[in-house]
Amino acid sequence: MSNGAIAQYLEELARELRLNSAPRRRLLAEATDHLCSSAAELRASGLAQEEAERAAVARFGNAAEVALSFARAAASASARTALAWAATAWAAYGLASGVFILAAPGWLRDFPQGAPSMIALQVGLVALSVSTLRARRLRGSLFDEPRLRLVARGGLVASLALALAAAGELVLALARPAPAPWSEAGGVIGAYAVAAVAALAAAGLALATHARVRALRRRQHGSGDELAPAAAALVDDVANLAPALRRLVAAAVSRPLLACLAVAGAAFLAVALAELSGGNEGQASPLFAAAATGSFEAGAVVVSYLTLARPLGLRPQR
Amino acid sequence: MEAALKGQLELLLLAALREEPRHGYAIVKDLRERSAGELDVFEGTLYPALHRLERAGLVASRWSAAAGRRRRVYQLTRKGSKALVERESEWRRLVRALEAVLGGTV
Repeated sequence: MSNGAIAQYLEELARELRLNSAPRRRLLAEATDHLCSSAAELRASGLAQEEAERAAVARFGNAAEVALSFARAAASASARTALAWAATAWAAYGLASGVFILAAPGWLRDFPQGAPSMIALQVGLVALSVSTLRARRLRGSLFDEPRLRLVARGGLVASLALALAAAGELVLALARPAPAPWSEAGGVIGAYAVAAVAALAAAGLALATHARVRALRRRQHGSGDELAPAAAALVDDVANLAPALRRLVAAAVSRPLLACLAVAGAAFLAVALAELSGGNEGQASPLFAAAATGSFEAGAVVVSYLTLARPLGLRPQR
Repeated sequence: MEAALKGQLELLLLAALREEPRHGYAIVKDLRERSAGELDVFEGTLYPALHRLERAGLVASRWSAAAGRRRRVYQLTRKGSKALVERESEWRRLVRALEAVLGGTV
């Protein structure tokens, strides 16, 4: 190895890559071999050593550009992994909630214990569905930028919602007025603990991915370009999966607030009816209780929409 | 030419590996020779693309030591061969459609 143009280039590439990992070392090793082979061939065709090295480097391309396309590929892979972890955490949390519904003792089941989990599971399901729809369509190739950002955000929203719900359950448990016989609820507590750890791990990974995607954006153009095509991309993704739904989703995306209110109204009716038909005997006013739970559900839908629709690309950017 | 090429780099890489496993530099040489110099990609961007294809399971790679040099050799996986056939026919359909529209001007 010489101290000429190739050595200088490799130093620059190592600096530009900015991450210390096995893939980076491998890329450097491959670049080294490539540049040496290329220079050797140019030398054999009659160029002087120094000229051959310079020509090989010029053909290889700008170091910043090579590092950028490497970073883009790494960010896509990391977004995919983060999404898979968020989905795993969601499943674990869903399982814990199932255990809660089936096995929790009566005193633990009274409202509002369990409510943060139910909300987080619903928010997480929407975030994961939107992101998975996007990740799925691209069959292993590189994400374009709006999709990369949305997939990263979907994983982040879902895993943070679950982690916050776990924290919320803990706060509710500690805030119980009377000392509770916790030893009776060992199974439920254990299931929630496992789910909370999975949610925290997924959130950590999602945060790292998010930071990586942001760094990539800064490198690419200094500031953010708009997510305006995101809503259109969602319509496309849905139409690809189920052509019959295209018009429905296009209508919902073009009038998002109206669509959200319709969903909230449907949620109110469904929950209130389920509550009524459940026949909670001994309750002073079953109609009032049903309306309260239904309103709570409808409120959760509206609040989720207001806080999450923009990051998820369901509502166009300002 | 460069912009049009960017989207098809993966297809070109898969095609370059169709006959036999190759290392990066051999792929570049193959592309250059077969296209009579028309496809002169920036060679460095090839490697991130190869790593990406590997992550997607379309190619597999291993180190090989030939002539005292350690080189990463890439080869198509079964999934990669299938993807190559699919993307190739997609591409040919597109080219046919473009030619039909452009008509005699080509």
